[in-house]
Amino acid sequence: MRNFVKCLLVCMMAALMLLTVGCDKEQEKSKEQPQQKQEQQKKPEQPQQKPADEKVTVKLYYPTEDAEKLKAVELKVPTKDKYKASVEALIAGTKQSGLTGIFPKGVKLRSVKVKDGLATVDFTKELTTRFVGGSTGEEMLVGSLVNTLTEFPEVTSVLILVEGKEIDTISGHLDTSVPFKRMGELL
Amino acid sequence: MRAAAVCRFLWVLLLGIFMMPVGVEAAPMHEIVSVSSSIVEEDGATFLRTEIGLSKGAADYTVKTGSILHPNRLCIEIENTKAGDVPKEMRLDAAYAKSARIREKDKNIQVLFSLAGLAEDEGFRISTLEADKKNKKPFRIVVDIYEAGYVPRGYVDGLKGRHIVVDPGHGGTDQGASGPSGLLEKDVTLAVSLKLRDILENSGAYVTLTREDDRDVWGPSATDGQELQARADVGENTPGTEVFLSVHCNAFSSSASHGTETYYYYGKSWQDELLAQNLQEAMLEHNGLHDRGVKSARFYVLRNTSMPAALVELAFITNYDEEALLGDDAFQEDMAMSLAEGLANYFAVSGK
Repeated sequence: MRNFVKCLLVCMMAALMLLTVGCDKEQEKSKEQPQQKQEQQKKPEQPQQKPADEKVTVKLYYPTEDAEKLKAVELKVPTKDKYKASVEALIAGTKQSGLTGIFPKGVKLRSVKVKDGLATVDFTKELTTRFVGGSTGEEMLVGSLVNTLTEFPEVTSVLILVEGKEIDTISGHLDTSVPFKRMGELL
Repeated sequence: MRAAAVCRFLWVLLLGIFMMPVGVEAAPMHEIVSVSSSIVEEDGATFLRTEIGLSKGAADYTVKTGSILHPNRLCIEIENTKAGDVPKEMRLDAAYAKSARIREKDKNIQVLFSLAGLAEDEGFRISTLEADKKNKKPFRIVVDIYEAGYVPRGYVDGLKGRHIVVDPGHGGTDQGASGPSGLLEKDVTLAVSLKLRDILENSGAYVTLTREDDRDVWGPSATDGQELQARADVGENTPGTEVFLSVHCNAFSSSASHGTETYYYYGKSWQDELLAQNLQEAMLEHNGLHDRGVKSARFYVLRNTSMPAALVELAFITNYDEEALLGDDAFQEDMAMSLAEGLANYFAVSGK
């Protein structure tokens, strides 16, 4: 009898352990799943001959701290979404000494589309609502975006959208209702 | 013989006509019928006003200063005038002028003021007032004398008759940029623009502001485009506008950026760049800040106005030192003066 009870207890403990281990594994799986899903979703979009990790060096233009000029910083980004990665790097700013970021806090990139030489860049509303900077700030923001994107030979002009719509201005200075061409005077 | 007699008669007649006394009855003489003095306060300035009443309307007069023997003397010589029943010597408020004296000189009258300070152009102002029948006042020559050492609110030569629209940047629901200590761009641009208006009007220009107080020009519910277009429209709809000047403070994400700059739109006319250059030069001459230069950019109010236009960035409100300057009344006044000078220089060289 005693042995039987002992045996039962051991069996129950073993079952309990197995159950908890199973739970852990399931949790791990659920964590991994979204990432796997993202990767799976992206894969069909890119040309299959290019490996997913192929990278390209881009020139990103950030304003100097005194806002006199824009200076290029090189960065390796995935070839498959070089436009998106470039703009997001501009938004994130730079730690390079003497340079600064100009995109407002909280702004996110909604999309970048390139068609017939025109890059259409769509930002969230924070681009205008949380912008800090006057004439010079606007010029540096637009200049850094336009000059970075026109580094790609297939891009000749850039149109800025906010929440999918064309805007007249960022904070009351530059007229943003039409696309900008490369702003070489800021380099 | 008969012909000779007729000739002689005509000759005598002609001589007679030529020798007739002409001009004895010259223009009737004016007479000084009243002299009164009082202390007047106007536009924040206090001065001594003396009104010299004349019996027969407008008279010619000349103003003389710079006597070596009497450097404090201001002499107003009124032509073809005699002194009526008025005191020939008056004691005045010594802070402005010790006395006024009336003396006859040939057919003219000299009114001699003995000023408290040197008789210099900026120390007095002379104008005329038409006869006011309702209040039984004759035509008057008005002499305003300021306290010794008084510097009058700006007057800039070369702006008389010019039509200028001044746009104080931002306003109302749009506060523009703000400084580390909380100074708002919209307040600075308005203060400088109001001071600029005073100087321009004082200099004889016609001035229209896109806003005269803390408000949105289009309205609080406007889109950014409507608001900016409303400002450009003030320039477009004000008859004869020769220049559109937008006044701003600069801002940047880093407090390190500083200095003064001026923008114009490259797609319009050569006058736009000339205007920007003259404004930039005059500002730097006054504020001594870092010269960021004259730049062309596609700014809304510059692109959407048809007359020469410029947008000045006085200094960086996001820079600690320059924020302190921008909030200072004397600096604002100085910048307003520099913009008035820049406009005058532009008109002088633009040839328009």
